[in-house]
Amino acid sequence: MDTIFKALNDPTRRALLDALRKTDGQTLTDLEEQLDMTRFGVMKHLKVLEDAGLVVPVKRGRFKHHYLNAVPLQEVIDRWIEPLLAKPAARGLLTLKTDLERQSHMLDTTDTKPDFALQSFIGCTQDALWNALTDPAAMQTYHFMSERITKADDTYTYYFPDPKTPGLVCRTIEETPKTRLVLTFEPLWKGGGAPSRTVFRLDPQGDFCALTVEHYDLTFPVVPGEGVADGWARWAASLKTWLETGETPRFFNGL
Amino acid sequence: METLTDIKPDFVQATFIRCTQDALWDALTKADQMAAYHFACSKAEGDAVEGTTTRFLRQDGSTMLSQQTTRLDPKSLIEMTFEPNWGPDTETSRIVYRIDVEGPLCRLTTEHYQIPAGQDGVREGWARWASSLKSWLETGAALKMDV
Repeated sequence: MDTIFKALNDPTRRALLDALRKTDGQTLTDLEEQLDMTRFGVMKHLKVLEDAGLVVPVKRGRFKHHYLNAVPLQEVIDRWIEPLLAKPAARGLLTLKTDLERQSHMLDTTDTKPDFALQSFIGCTQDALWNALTDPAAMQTYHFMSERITKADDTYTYYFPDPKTPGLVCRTIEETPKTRLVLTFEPLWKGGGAPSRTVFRLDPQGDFCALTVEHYDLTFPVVPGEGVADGWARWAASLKTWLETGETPRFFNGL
Repeated sequence: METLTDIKPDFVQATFIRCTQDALWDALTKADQMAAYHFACSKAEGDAVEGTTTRFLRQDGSTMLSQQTTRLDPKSLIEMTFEPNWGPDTETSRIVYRIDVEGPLCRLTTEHYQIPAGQDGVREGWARWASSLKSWLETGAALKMDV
């Protein structure tokens, strides 16, 4: 934790975090252009942020892209800030502040770019696709990781890596039958990050149905081909194969 | 010289297809197969060979899209130009197909670099293209749009 506080205790490093919050995945050159500082200076500050785990570098060819990682910060908040908010007067003010921020945040997200988006076209009816997205018996048939999925009221629980361990909880926020589904995405696995939000949209197009998946409010970097992006690609590929062929290859390469 | 792998792509899409590496490679390099599963075209000319151009043709025989192969690593990687011939935006950009084998499956990654302003529609196009390719390889039936 010392490294996190040290990392935050500098205006340049806070400016770097703000720059990445605006556009994730920037290179050193991108970041350098926004700061009145030498390339070496920016490198030094980035190194401190990397050591604290607040920035994750991803190397691609000759370039290194920098992604924001909010998980260590959330841990600091949980450990040091949340417990100190117990004083009633302070809490009242902070709750008001949070409520106001949430309201503006909710207004924001309607036209905010999702952190991850995927589109697939599936040779099936709208009914079949809706059923595959909402019936736990169908979901556990094709899911790439979970062979047991339950639903109680508006909440789905995915069990993995074994049928006794809950790995993911998704609560229904909004449901327009056959057309739109908004769910929370609450990872229970270690390192899964804070709860986020997913939106599924169905659009029938003649012989096939378009499916759009959007993932919002992620607190960790989305790296192409890894983590969340890889998970959704496997999930969507398994879903499509199951709906079109009836077979369940579970496109998963192990934990 | 700058190579594509040094630049960050504007669009990345991955899908998993249950097929052999050979079958996926043929589908990506043989013009008759490219036409068989393309969502908006049913005719194509020119196999993917380094230095050669593949043309996707409309019903009336005009060219809808040209893709010149600039690099070919057998069964694993293809780099091509992307030269659309529709709308006012006909600027050339570049694409990469990558194949990774995972047991009985292939992961196909599509990357599109330096997408010109006004060509954002290509994202949905890639989703349609990959969806139709996957259906065609797994079921024999492509997902064609009514065009």
